[in-house]
Amino acid sequence: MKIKLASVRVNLGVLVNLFLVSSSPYFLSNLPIARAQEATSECSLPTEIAITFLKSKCKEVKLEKPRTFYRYYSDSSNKYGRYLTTNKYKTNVAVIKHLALNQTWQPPNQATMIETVTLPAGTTVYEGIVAPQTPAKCYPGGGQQTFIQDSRDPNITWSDGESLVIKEFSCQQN
Amino acid sequence: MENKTETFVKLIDQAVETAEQMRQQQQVQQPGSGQQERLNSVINALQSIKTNAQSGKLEPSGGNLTLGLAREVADWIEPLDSPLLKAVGEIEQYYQKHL
Repeated sequence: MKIKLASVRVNLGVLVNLFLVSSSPYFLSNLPIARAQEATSECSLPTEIAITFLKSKCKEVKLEKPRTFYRYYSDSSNKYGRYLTTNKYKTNVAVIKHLALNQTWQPPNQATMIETVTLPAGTTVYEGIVAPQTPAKCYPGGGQQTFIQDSRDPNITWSDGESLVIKEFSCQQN
Repeated sequence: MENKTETFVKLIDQAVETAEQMRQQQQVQQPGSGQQERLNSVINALQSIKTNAQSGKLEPSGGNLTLGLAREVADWIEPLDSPLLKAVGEIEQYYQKHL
């Protein structure tokens, strides 16, 4: 009886997970956030960086193995940087909203390209959720956010970019 | 003008001053570098936020919303403990706590 109950619970869990993944209009896939064997602790970032995470909460993780993340960009000026994500999105519009890429910055990051960023073992990363930005209607955030302190580490591998599905982003503030 | 808005505007003015000093240094040390364009963009964003705050058009933070200043600057600023990042961080914290 216990075995049957456990089986039902596992199957229900799988069904729920399948539903969540397949019902999302934004994600193609998600990379794992923290692995069990990696040491994690509460966010030790200075407040001016921690505040970029939802509720200023993040987890500090030291990578025991190389790990690959994504970064979205639209030109050479924003190809490299300290903010990465484990979320793979289908369209540039989803990226702009969920990673809160405000289009008024010059030059704006229109997230037309995706690249993979592989960090070496031993790198400390800070993981959490993207905080919403003004106007919240346009930039609600909510995507996964990974911060690294040194994006100039020569041991980081930045792939060539690939094009995303491009749709027009518009957001009326009022 | 409310006291909170006055304090907020002072923090913005301090950050603008810091960014302008950095921009001048960049013009001397690394003319034509991409950092000048980024600093210009930060100054423009700060001035836009100031205008919105003074006219009462700034969206309330609800304790959660951010202005995007710290996220933008922290992505590229060198070194990471730059006074500009600290200055925009103070603006973000004040916004979340008081506005």
